[in-house]
Amino acid sequence: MTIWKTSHLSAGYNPTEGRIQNLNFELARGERVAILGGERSGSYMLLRVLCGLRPRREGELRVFGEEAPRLEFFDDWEHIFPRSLRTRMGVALERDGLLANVAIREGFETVIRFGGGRLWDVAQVRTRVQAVLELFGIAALSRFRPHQLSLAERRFAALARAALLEPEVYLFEGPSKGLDDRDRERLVYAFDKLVVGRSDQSLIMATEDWALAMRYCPRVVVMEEGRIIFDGIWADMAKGCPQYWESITNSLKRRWELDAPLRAVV
Amino acid sequence: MVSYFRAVARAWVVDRPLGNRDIQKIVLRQIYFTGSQAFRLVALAAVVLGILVIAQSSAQLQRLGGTEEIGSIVAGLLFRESAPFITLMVVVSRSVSAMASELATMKANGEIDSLRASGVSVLSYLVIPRVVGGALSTVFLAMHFAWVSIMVGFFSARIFVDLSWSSYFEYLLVSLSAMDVTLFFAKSLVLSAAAFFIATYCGLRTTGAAFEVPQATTKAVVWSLMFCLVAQALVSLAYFLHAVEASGFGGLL
Repeated sequence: MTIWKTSHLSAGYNPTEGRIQNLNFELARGERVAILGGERSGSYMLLRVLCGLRPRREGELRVFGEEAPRLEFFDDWEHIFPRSLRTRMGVALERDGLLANVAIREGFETVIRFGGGRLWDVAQVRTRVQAVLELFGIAALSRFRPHQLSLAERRFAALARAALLEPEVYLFEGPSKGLDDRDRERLVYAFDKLVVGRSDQSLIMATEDWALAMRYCPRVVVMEEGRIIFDGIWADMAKGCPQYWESITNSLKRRWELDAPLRAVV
Repeated sequence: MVSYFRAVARAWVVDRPLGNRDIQKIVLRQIYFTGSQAFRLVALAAVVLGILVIAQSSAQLQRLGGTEEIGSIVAGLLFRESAPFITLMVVVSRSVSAMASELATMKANGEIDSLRASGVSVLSYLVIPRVVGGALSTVFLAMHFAWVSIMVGFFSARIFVDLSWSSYFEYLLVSLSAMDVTLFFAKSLVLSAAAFFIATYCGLRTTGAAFEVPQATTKAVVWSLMFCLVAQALVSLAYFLHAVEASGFGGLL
C-alpha cells in the first residue's frame, strides 16, 4: 500500500513562493527514506506538506490512498487532513513545540486524549506515556516543564511525543540536530527500538546527519532548490548524484581527521 | 475572519468540545484567570463609579426635588450601561491582550504546529474553551460590578440625600425593566465573546515570528476596543430610540 503519492506538487510559505516545485514522490508502507539537502532545499517543506501542516499550491497529493483536501492559504486554521489520517502519522518537527505551560507528562496525556482517534481510559494513557518516556530515557524528567529541560532533552521529548499514538509512519525533521555524541547514542538506541526490525513501520526523515540516515533509511532522496535531484539507494548515489556524494565523502574525511586525537587515545 | 469564524463554528459542531471533561477544566481555568483575578479591579471600578454617579446626580436631583429618579439612574446608567461596558474595558485590557499574546507566543514557539501535527484540534482545544470561559467570566464580573455599584450607590445616596434602604431599592426595582436585565446579560456575553474571538484570531493569525507577538497583542486590543465601543454605542442608540418610541414621543424625532 502507498502511504503518500504526489504528482507535480508545488508548495511554499506564501502563495507566490515556490519552495518545492513540480515534485513527484511516493512512499510505500514499510519503506524508510531519508531526505537530504538541508533547510533551503525544500526538504522540510515537503515534510510539512506530507503531514498536512502546509497546504499545497499545485499538484496532486494522495495520503493513505485518499485524495488530500486542497485549501487556500490562510484558510488552514485546522489541520488539513482529517483526524483519521493525522493519527496514523507521528510527526516531530525541528522546533520541539512542547506545550510550555504544562509538564511533559501532562502535555503527552493531552496529545493522547485530544489527538487520539479512539477513547483511551486513564490507565491506558498513563501506561502508554510511561512506556514512551522510558524508551527515550526521559521518564525522570516527566514532571518538568519544557523550559526546565536541556535542548537534547526537549528534542527527545518531541520525538517521544511523535511515538505516543503508535503511528504507521514517522516524519522527523532534523532529529539529531544540535545533539552531541552521547545524546546521539541515546537517540540511536531509541530509534533502534522504534523502527529496526519492524517491517510495517515507515519512516521519512529530513536530515543532514548522513550516518543516521544511512543507518535507518535504505532509500535516499536528495533535494536542491525545491526539486528532487536524486531518488534511489545509497549504493547508486555516487553515480546518480556525484556532487552530493562528494560532499558526504569530504565531510567524512574531515570527520576522520577531527577524530584522529580521540582515536589515538582510545 | 469569516473563514476563521466558519472553522470555529465547524469545530464547535463537529467536535462538541464542551462535552469533554478536560475541555470543561480548561473553561474553568479560563474563568479563574479572567474572572477571579479581575475581581478586585472590577470592584474598585464599581466603587469609584458608584460614588461618582450618585454623588453628582444626587446633588442635582436634590436641587430639582426628584430624588426618586436615583432609581432610574442606578438602573439605567450603572446597571444597564456601565456594568457591561466598564467590565468589558477591564477584560479587554487584562485578558484579551493576554490571550492574544499567549496564542501568538505559542505559534512562535511551534506549539500550534506541534498540536496540529499531533492530531489535536487547535480550535477545539485552545480557542473554544478560552472564548467560552472568557465570555462567562465577563458575565460574572459584570454581575459583580452591578452588585457592588448598587450597594455603593445606596451608601452614597444615604450620605448625600439621606435616602432609606427601602426607598432606594423601591425606586431601583420600579425603574428596572426586563429589557434592562436582558441588555445587561446580552451585552456582557455577546460583546465579550466577540472580543475574545478577535483575540484568538489575532493570536493565531501570526506567521510564527517572535516580533509579531506584540503586534498581535496590540491589534487584538485595538480591534476589540473598537468593536466593543461601536457595538455599545449602537445598542444604546437602539435602546434610546425604542424607549422614545414606547413613550409616545417618537414623532418628535
